Amino acid sequence: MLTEDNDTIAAISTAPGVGAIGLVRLSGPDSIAIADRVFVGSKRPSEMEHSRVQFGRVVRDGAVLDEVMLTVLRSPQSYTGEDVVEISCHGNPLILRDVLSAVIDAGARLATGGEFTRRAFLRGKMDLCQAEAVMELLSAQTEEAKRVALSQVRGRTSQEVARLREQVIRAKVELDASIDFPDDVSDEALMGSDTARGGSSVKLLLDTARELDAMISAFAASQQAQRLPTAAIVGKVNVGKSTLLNALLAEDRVITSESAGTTRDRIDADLALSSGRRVRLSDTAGLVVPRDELDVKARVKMEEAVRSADFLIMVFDASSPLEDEDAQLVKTWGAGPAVLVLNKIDLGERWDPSVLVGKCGDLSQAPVVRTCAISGLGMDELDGALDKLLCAVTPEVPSEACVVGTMRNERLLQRARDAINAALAASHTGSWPEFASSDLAEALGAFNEFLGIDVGVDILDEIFSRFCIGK
Amino acid sequence: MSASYDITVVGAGHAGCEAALAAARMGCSVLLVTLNGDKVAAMSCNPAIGGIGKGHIVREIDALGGQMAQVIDRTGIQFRLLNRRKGPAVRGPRAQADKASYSRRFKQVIESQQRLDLVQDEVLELLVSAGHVEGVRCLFRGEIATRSVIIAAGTFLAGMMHIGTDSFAGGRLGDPSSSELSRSLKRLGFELLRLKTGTPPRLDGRTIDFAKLTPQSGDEPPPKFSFVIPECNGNKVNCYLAKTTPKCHQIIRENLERSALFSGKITGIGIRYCPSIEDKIKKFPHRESHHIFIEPEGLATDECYANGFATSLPYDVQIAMLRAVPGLEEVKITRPGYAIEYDFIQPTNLHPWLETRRIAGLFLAGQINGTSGYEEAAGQGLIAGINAALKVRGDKPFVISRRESYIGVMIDDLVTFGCKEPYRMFTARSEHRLLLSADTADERLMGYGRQFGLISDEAYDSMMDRRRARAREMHALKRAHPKGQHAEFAGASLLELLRRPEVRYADLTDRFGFESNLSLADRDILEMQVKYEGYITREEKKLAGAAKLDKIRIPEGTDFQRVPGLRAEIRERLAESRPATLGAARRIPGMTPAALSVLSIHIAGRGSRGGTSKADELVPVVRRPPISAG
Repeated sequence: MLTEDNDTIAAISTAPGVGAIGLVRLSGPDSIAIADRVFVGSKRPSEMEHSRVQFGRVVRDGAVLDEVMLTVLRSPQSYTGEDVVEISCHGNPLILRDVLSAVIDAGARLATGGEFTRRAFLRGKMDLCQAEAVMELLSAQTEEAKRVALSQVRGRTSQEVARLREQVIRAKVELDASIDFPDDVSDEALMGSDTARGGSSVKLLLDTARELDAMISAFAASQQAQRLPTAAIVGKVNVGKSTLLNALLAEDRVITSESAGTTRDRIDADLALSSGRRVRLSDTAGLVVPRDELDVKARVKMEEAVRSADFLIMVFDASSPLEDEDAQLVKTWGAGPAVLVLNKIDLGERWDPSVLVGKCGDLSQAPVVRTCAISGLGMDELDGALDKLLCAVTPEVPSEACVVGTMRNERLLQRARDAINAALAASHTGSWPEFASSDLAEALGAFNEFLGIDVGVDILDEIFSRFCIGK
Repeated sequence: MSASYDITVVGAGHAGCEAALAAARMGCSVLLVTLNGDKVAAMSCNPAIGGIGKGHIVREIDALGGQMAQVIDRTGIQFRLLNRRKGPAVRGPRAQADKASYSRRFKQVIESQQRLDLVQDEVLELLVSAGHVEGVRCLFRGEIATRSVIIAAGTFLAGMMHIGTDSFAGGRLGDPSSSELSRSLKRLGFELLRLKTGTPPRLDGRTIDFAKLTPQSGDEPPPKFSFVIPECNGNKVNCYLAKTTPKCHQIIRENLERSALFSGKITGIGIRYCPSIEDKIKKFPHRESHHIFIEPEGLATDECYANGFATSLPYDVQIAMLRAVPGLEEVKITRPGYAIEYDFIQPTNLHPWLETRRIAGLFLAGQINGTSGYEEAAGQGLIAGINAALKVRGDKPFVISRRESYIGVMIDDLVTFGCKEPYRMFTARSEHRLLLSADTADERLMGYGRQFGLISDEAYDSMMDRRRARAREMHALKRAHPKGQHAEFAGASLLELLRRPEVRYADLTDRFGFESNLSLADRDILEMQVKYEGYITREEKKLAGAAKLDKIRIPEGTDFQRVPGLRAEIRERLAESRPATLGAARRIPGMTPAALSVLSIHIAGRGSRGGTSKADELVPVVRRPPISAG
């Protein structure tokens, strides 16, 4: 942001598209010191002469991220007029992301659109006409990038973030109301240690932090698995999901039994199809009305797996009538690519798959495979169906904008979560709600950045519509 | 012209009085014109000053060298600190006033001020030539030459009161309105809009059964407002809490169509945070009871103010609904509640130093800018008075920033966003609440007060002494450890202990044997600085960024339509609100970081070419002296 011109910024700066070479560029007073922290070569970057190039490795936690060429440009003889370090990496966006992530962990900040140009202009390295031309281009690109980033997370993630933001606003409104209108709004009922007598904000924030945790680990999981497409196996309890996974893997990796609900944790396994394509399978706990804490946890894990999956393997019991859980499954997760598996076909087919498709139009294109996982019947057909689906959903190598966007989003959600946890801690330890309110403002800032909106919330507006205020 | 003054102030209410005093104290000759010489600094509505946000403003007025805090300290009859159980930053002092004494005392101060003439007259017209104020025309005195005019007319511009279905012209019950001046402003090209506010009935205290009400006493020791006078008047009276009943609500509901508010007679926009009782009943139908605070209007009168019970229902309904409240069964009304509509001018017409953009030398302060409340008015009056005097002297205008004061928050909100309803201060309006504690107003603002000659060296030095004493104590806490048997705290310094939420300053002295050299008030401030440290650092960091943007001036007359790379929607918003700085531009809804970058490059480029934009042109630099730990 404009407001901090004295720190060190970093960005991927290459021509768009996947090229042979990608550039991670640092600018600012700590550029060279940061390079010292991540680069291993025959010389430390701080000992390098101006505009010299050196071969070496970018390393994090002992692991080599890439073999690179590193250039040091000392102030004022650089594009921005500041100390600049350029790290030429291999052109794979995922590698670029790792390198960028490493320099950020080492002390740089992710640059915002136009920041390099702004610095160049302010330090007299560029005249107004040049700068304005670049900015014009950039602001068009920013709009474009925002659109891409939004479409990338549109649907589930951005809707969920918007919902969490609303929850935080609600909590902040209650806090602020108790601060500015103590005669009208009692604060004990809102925050403070007295959760029993209300504490609605505390509960709301606890839920929000929990949901953020789940989203952040889903982010991390999706990044881990980015080189391998993922399929989640879902279905109500005891339709034979784990048996199906074992049959696919041809090994008894998952413990199965005849009693319902044996799989409480999610289990991941990599599968090589007969075509040679690989896919990571996630076995999930069966869909069930939660009976205990363990069920709730299993449900959270299942949702995590589904959220990060590229497609779903929806398993049904062909031999017994469809139940509410089946319908719910289709209703909740039916959008998006999936294969429908009618298992236990050896015990008979009691219903027509078109019944399912009727409940969710998106499934009309989904292949239907009939299996008996115990005997291995239909497994070849499933292999074929998976292969076809895999061809369709295998993600292209993500663009740089997308890679950086994902990193940015994950960090923003972490920031929001940390701020909410700080607010909760403040509310537990003392009765000064203005601390918690300040933390929630921080969380809202992160949500706003995530959603690409820059509008302040009219907290007062919310207060007046919810509380009867005023003498 | 018969006479001439440097500055003419129209209206002797809370804004006008501060404006006139500040300008006269800064060396200008000032004419203060009021419609009624017996109503100087009159409290037309509630008999109280301060509160959360409002109390902060009063402290700021005092630190800048204004009068309000001193007068309420000397004429207050009950003093409280609101939000005492919350953190120091959101605690607000509030006092019940003896209305008559307050007004009398303020008039004495005005009358004893050199270069200031208080007169009863009516300003009918502004005399303007070539976009500059040249004088005013008065009803009795005719034309008076003047270099600047400050209009602080309150609710008197085309004021119209409503009780039930009756309407009558006036600026306050018993006083006439002023419509000539409204017309003059219209002729000068200002668009006048309407706002609405209301006031509750006043009750005869002899007819209230106080035994049925809950008394509310003042705080001991009574918290004073002013930094510069040694003590306040102290607690002399109680307030009382009454509660409405379902029967009372029933009466209101049955008569809603007889309220001026709902009969369609009132076109002005009302206040959501100061709703009439009929508004409350309508909007929150499930609430079984609302509070009424019965507040004495003074020591020498039995009249009481029914706070929380503003209404514009007809007199007979007012009586009936009051008598349905336990304790008020026999009550008599001395003055009915009423709603009042009045003219205001969108404050987006103003520079951030409260001078109109349209006419040089014309300043507006108080309700004419869409605000509500004595404190908000007084804060603007003070800033307008200072700036009118600076203009007469030929000095740069003084812009008080939102980073350092609630007064700055208010003025920035007003000139950037305008008003959709009467504007009142709340701490939630500031994004830096933790840095704007009422306790630290002196530290934040006295430097300015002294610079303008409104704060004595003595007062300033005493503030600096206290700061140094706190710094010394901080140093001592760093080195001190708990005395006695405190194995669980082994090795921890007292400063580290004070950081813990559960450890209070009193624990240091009572449990850990620390000998403090500070007053109780200063211990509070130090405790806040220690406990808030992480938060303060975070907010100061944000603030430093905001400060930078606030100093980058957008040249007057920038054509936003011609800034390349901005979206059409953002161009329009910019053109509409004409932000004075990048900081103000950033607060415009819909602004994005990218657009702000584009704008900054555009104006930086224009600046280096034309030389019109100097980073610190607007804000006089007051350096805070460094503190040494001693």
